[in-house]
Amino acid sequence: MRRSKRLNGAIAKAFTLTAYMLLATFAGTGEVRAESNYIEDTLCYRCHKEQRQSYQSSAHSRAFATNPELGCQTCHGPGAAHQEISDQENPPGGWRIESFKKNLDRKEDKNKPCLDCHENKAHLNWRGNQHDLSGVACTDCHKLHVENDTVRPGVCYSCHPKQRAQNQHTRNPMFPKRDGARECMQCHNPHGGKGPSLLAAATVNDTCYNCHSEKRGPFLWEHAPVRENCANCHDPHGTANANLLTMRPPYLCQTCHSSATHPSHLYSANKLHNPNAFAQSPLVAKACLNCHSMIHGSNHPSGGKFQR
Amino acid sequence: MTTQPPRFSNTPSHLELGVLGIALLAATGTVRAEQEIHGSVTAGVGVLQIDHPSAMFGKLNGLTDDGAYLIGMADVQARDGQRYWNLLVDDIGLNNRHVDLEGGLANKYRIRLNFRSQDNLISNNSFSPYQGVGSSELTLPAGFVRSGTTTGMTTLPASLTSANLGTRHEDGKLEFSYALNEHVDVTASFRRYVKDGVKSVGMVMLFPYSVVLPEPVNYQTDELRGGIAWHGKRGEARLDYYYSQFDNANSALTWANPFFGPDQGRASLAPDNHHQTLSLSGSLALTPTTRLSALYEWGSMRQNESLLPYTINPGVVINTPVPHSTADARIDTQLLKLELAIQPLPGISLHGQYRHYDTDNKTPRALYQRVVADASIQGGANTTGALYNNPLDYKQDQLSLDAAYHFGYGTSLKLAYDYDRKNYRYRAVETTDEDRYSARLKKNWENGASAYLELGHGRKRSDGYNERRVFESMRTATCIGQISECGNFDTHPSMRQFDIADRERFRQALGISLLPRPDLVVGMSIDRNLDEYNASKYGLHERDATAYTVDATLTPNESSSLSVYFTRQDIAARQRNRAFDTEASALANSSADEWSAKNQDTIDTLGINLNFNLLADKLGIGLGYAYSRITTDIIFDAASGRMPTALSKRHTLDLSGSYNLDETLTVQAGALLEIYHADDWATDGLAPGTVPVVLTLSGSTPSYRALLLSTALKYRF
Repeated sequence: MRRSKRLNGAIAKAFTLTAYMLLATFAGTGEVRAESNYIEDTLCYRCHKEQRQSYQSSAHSRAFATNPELGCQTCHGPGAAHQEISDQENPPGGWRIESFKKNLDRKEDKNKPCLDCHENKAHLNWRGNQHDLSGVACTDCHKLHVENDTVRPGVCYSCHPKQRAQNQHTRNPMFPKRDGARECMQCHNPHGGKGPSLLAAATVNDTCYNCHSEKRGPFLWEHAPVRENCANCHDPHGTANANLLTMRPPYLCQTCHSSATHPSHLYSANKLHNPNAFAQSPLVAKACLNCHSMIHGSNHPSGGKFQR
Repeated sequence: MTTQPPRFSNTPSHLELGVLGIALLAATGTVRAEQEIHGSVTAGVGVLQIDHPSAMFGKLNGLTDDGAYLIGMADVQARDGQRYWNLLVDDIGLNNRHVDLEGGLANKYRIRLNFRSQDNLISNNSFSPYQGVGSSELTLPAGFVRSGTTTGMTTLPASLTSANLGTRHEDGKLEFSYALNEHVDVTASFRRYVKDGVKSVGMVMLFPYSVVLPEPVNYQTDELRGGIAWHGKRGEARLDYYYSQFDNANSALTWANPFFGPDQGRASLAPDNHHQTLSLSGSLALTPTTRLSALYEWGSMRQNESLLPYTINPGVVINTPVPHSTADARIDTQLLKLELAIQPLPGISLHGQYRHYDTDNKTPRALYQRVVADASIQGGANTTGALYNNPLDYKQDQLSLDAAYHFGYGTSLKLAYDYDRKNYRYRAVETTDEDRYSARLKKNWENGASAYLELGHGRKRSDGYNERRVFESMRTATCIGQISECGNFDTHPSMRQFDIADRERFRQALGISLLPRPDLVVGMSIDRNLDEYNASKYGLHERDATAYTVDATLTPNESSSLSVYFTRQDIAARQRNRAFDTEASALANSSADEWSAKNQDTIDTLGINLNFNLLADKLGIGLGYAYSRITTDIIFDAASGRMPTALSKRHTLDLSGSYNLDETLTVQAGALLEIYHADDWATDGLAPGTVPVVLTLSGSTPSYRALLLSTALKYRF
């Protein structure tokens, strides 16, 4: 493969930056917590009765059950200083505990207790992904003092209003419940996935094949833009057109195809209302797909034009 | 003719019964007397009244016509120290039911059973003269009068029977994970996904005489996943395997020809195939603020279905048989991903990523002397009808550099650069290069207000677009030398396929969220994405998509809230093309036959949700309203007639209430009113026989007004 000067330059810049990052890395500092700063969790429950009840039904409570050292302060940090001022109404200098509600400007402080345990498995690629760099905190999406930590319905839409609207489109055939979240995660891994746009699978097409394995092929006759990216013609979040197409056929097909006779002709209202044999066909019913039906690929030895 | 909605039996399938049985056994087997069990069970009844039976209303729940259905839901949790199980049952009385059972021992093992069924109803006003709908052989009734056009098929009206379209999807999954020790986990899962029903497919005997047929759908996909992971204090390594097998019960569709010409046509249907991947990934925390990650994934997609003969028509003389008996199609893939994320200083995040994705299409290439349609003849090896199949593949190299700087109170700046190179085989370009830059500035204020501004620009360039490269790759050298026989091109030399054309991409986004009162959040955002293809003489010229959103949420107390949002999307696509009847006329330097069109989609979406409690929180009231309206206008530059506006709109009003009789019992009631209307020039007024050269299947989607009333009793324990 011919490698361009631009690619060489980009790779050189990447290595330079990587080297700087590595050097800078070792300047990082760790954090040591003094055991004396910690208190018995039962002391927390004296004031936080509601939180005790909700915590005890949570997944964290199950996970921490065998280790008495794990509990409230595993996430909230040492509580001794907090306990000392617990009888005050508005203590100067704040409550001296990690509440996950403060520090709106420093999401990394809020995420650190979570990542200490959860930076693995599906969350392995959190650091550096779009959500991390955009300042999303774990608690922006997750509620922890609950029975089951499923993401709240519509949580994705609070930052993605366009996708919320697309999901409500009259022509959207995708989702049985129009409330988001779990549906979004059928394709995306919000903690960082293998593919672009936080997709869990390696590519857009691999994502689509999870439910549309009949379109996976490989086929004897491949349609080039289909093989590379389903999103060349479809917008999975919702469009104005049937089958989540970005435009209506025949006009969608005519953005790429122009050969003698019918693929190149203008199909206007004059032809829609003209019962002439050749004029109406590419406009009505399935339009171009009235004939070129195997548009995702054909396995017929005569299928070079995707007709069968 | 009578109109019947497509219906699928509400009887549980074998897959569903299997999952439910295992779930029940697992649940009862783990329940012990000392376990703490709590949760809720809801049971009730719903009644639907609808003015027109509608596949659109029942698209995803199976409710299409007047009638009653059962409401059944359960949400149960059991715990005994670390041991637990959770059962979730949704919509058990509907066809889109969902059951999820998860249990295990925290930090040791976890088992999960999940089953979801869903009807995807497509049409309830489809009619076809064909017999054998749902099978792979479609025949016409005895005495059917064939003709050159549908108007001459005099027996067509009397031959029509309901051929409604829709598929049922059943998805069952069993997952298991087990911690061998503190550092090693194993995971395994099995998934079976079944699609069953009928959808539509177009078939042609000889252009433009086509038929829209009911195509049988009888698919089954089985997936197996397994993995082993090692976790250390500073890193993790994983090995994962994935196998997916797709089986189609029908490999071909044979159909009787209602037009003049041969008696039968035959098409291949989606072939059986399988896909497997093996991936190795790892991540290492070099320091507490630095993480190095790597992923390598090898994959292979294979398909080896037996190839059909060139034609089913015995009247066509086949001089050259199909060169291979099976497809032997195979694409191998490789994914390599290297990432380094680092926080060199508090408030600064840096991220670099290199990604290589490679598809290697190993499908054998051969010359297929096609029979273009079953009514055609087989031409010679050096004619336009003889084509080599091109095993398409591509390679992609991407480099991404991101930096985020958090400074001051709640202020952050994110800068990103991406370089993307693709190398193609058998396409009109060999290489495309794209540079993308973006910046995002965000500010959070102490009172919760926030604002952001995002700008992006990308430029894609190809190495020289040459459509003839594809044209020649598909034909014999002798054919190319005989221009009069083979023609000059498959698509006009000045046409640029937009996915590989030169492109300028712009992105602008702005959002503001304000808190005029502590309990009120008001926001607005604008999101614009513009693609320009200025170097394309013909093809897509521009796509301009802008979304405007305003929303507000009022939360006067913990149990009351009012939220409102409105989004308008304007999506305009401009294209240019040229009408020509011979290739010679296409190459003339004349703009007389050029045409251009603007496709304008306008989409309005409104949502209102109100929730509040009364009577000391005993009575809960919820009110929801959703509105969506889509219009599509296609406007031409010439005096060629503007297409009629295509319209669809839906109002949904949802009122719900619940009253707590005591600590354990709640009465629930709901009313949902939905009104839908659509106008679509591509299907409105079409019946089989309306269009002379297309024997259609589906008519327009009828408008409907549906009222769904429900009441249920919820028991908490």
